[in-house]
Amino acid sequence: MLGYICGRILALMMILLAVSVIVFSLMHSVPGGPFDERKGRLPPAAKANILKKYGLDQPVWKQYINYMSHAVRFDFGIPYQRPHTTVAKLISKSWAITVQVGLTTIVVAFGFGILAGVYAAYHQNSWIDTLVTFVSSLGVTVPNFVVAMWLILVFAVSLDWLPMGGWGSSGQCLIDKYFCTDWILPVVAYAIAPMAIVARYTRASIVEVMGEDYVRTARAKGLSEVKVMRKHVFRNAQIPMVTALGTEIPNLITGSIFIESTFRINGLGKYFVTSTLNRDYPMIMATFLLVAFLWGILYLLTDIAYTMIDPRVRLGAKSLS
Amino acid sequence: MDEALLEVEDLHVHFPTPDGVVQAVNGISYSLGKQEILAIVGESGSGKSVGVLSLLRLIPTRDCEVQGSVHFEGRDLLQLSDAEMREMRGNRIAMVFQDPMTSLNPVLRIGDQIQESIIEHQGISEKVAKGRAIELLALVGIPEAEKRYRHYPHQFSGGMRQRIMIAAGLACEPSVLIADEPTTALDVTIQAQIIDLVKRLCREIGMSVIWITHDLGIVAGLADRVAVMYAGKIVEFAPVDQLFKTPQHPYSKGLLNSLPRLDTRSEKPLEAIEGLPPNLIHYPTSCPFLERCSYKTEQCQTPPEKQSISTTHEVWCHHAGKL
Amino acid sequence: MSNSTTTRRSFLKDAIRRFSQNRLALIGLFLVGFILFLALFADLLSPFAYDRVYFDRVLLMPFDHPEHPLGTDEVGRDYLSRLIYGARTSMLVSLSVQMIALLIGLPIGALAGYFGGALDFVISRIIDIMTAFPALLFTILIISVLGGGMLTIIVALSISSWIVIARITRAQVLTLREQEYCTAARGIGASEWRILFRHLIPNAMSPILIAVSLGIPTAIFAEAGLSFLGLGVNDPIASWGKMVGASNAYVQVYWHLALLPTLAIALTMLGFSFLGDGLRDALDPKQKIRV
Ligand SMILES: Nc1ncnc2c1ncn2[C@@H]1O[C@H](COP(=O)(O)OP(=O)(O)O)[C@@H](O)[C@H]1O
Ligand code: SF4
Ligand SMILES: [Mg+2]
Repeated sequence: MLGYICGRILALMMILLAVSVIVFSLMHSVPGGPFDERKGRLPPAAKANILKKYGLDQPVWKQYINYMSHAVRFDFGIPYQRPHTTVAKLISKSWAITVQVGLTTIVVAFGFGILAGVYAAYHQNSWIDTLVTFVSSLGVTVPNFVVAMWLILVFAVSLDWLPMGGWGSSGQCLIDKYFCTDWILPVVAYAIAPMAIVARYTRASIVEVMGEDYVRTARAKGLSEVKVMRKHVFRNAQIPMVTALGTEIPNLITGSIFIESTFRINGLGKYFVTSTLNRDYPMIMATFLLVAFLWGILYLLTDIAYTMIDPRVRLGAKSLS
Repeated sequence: MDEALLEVEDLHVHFPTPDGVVQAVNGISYSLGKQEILAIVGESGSGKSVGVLSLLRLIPTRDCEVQGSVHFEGRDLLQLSDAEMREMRGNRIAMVFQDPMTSLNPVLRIGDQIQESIIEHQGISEKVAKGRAIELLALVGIPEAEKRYRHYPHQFSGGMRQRIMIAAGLACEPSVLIADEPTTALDVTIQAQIIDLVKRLCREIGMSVIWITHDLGIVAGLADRVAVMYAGKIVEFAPVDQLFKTPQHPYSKGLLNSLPRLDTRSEKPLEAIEGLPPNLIHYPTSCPFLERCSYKTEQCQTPPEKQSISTTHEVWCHHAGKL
Repeated sequence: MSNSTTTRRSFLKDAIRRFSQNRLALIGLFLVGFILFLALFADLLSPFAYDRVYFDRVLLMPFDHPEHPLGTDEVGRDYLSRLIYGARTSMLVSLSVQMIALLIGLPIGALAGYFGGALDFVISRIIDIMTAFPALLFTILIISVLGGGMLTIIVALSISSWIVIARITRAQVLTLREQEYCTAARGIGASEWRILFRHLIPNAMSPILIAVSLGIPTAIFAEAGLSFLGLGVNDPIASWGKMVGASNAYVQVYWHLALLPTLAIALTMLGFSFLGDGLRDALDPKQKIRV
């Protein structure tokens, strides 16, 4: 197990290295950098000066080595768009908000998704079941920024119940600056798709597990219905639910970009977009490394979660390809 | 057999489906004596499983309609509340199922699955229950019980798993064990071991067994009495030696003829029974065996009543005793 | 040979029957047909050119002006016309992306799966690296390097989409090449290439088609999303996503600016995914393929 995890982390390092090479060389493969397009023509001397300041006058491979030797010490350079701070600082500041958005969304999505799925499984073909199916097919296909716009139109514009944007600045909060009224729309818009998927997976897997022979065995032992569900059905139904978590990770990561720009939330996603618009290479590079790292770690955690739930799965025995 | 432990009377189990009502069990009655092993035999689809599952009310009520009565320890199981029924399951009447590969929960340790009914019904601590579970593992012949207690189902062979299922069934020392084709999924040698195990336990613990099988061949060395089922009805009910020596129903005869006999060295070739059982949705108004019966007459257009050959031997055929 | 053509024909007949009995799939087909119609005949159908600006008719509400039934946008362009041309942008991008993805992904996946070896190793590693982060981020990276615009978007989306097709084709070919009819074909002396193109690829087509059809809504989403973020098509080309993004500042009063393009995106995506699901159910009744 430990050996397997070490191997996976090593593989992740290799991938990060590959990602960094690809991103770096892509960014430096086109003529022109951040300083020649939008800002108009600079005098050649001033331009050379700036290029020197950012080390852009050296050969690409030297720039790369230089960059990476700093990056392993968490020094990702200075963002072009904000020369007075560092990339690491900017990311750690905006990161906190993105994590808040993401975690609240995960809790809401999985909480309500599982509840709805369990209810739908227990009351197959009831109106709630139909509703869950309907909402989930909508939630899966319609992009979250579209849902976000609809929510804004209904609850912010038409009914005027909730603020249109912001994060923690509405002044009406549960605790300090957390759980505010302006959290509601972004979280709902963001959560709908994963919630739909979790509800679908939960329903399908519970229905399937409830028909298993070992559930009948458990009933034949005289266990109460609650115990049968808790001990025998849910444990097994968790296995496909972990799969749902695994497939939702990429959507959650990219989803944040849209939610943050729809609701004007100053998180990492929004900086990522402005970095791209400004060709802010240090920011882009750092964000990419971060996302690739996160993604790799989350997948590793999903695989470990499998082994904890299902004793038949042995890590490393045959990797899921 | 003076005092019956379990009495099933006129049990009907019907499944309403979109295509019509499936009449899976149609008025079966039998009794089970103390320490008796009763075998229920019949081909697949004849309603054996449905017949015993409905004793413990293990078929979801929204799927089926059950009629009749099941008397056990002075009460009618079909009239109990859900909570009272749960008190019975696993505690007074335990069940072992056909497929040991799917009947154990793959994600729970087998020790946990053996002791959970003791904890549920006797309210004892986990620690005590664990000791008991290890004893049970040893009792059903699992070597190194202490170590195996912590293993998961996928670490055992099919025969071992069926032993574990039996251990779980015996956990609360029930007075009745219902075994639904417990050896069908196993190899012949393993099958014999399991049969010996159940016979021994039955004697040692003093419990009664209802053993369901589609294989008349294993019944001879196992059961005291045999009920032969066909299309949801019992067609013949007799002590095991009488059934083997003088079968009265054409279907029982057919089943026996399709068995290889070691004792008589008969020259007659083995014969399978031709045809298929009737459609349970459009249940025949005649004798249900009519279509496949080579003894049928005009009389057989009406369903046969019970004929008693002796006090212990009953047959449902118009021509019983005259074949 | 004739035997296999008849089975293929009856399979197709079955698939068509299954599809035509699927209500959602038919709704999807209708929606998709409608959107394609708008996209094809945008110049004939729309009352104005998509970039015709009326400086004196800025931000009209629907029905305010007889010539602009759905109002105008923030610079005074007819909203109905822009919605119709938005269909053209959406279809142009998503269909060409899937076409390119198919043209690149199918041969590469097939070669990797059939011949294995070093080629397969390299392609598999490329797939590994490309799946090490979300495809959309990769697209954004390419756009940041190449700059926005319709062509860049198509290129960027194709680069991340061919991976899906290549992976599925590779897996299909890997399993199919071990099957009996391949051995049989080899036995009668068919060349490797003939086996690959005459036997394997036709038999692998169902899951690939399904992947392509389900890839279309993904591409629609990507184009709309990128344009929404301001990373997509350039002005004055009409794009639903860009219209939604631009509406954000005016939505308090001019709700139609947000509502109409979001409805267009939602209906188009629903249409294509119903169609894709219907195709999958029709072509793969046992639901072996998960895309
Ligand atoms: N839930 C159900 N719904 C409808 N029909 C059922 C159901 N369960 C069992 N049956 C039918 O009842 C009949 C008897 O089944 P069963 O008791 O399992 O036969 P066996 O003798 O092989 O154990 C079969 O024809 C089966 O199709
Ligand atoms: S009643 Fe008639 S048809 Fe039925 S088993 Fe007896 S002889 Fe055969
Ligand atoms: Mg059965």
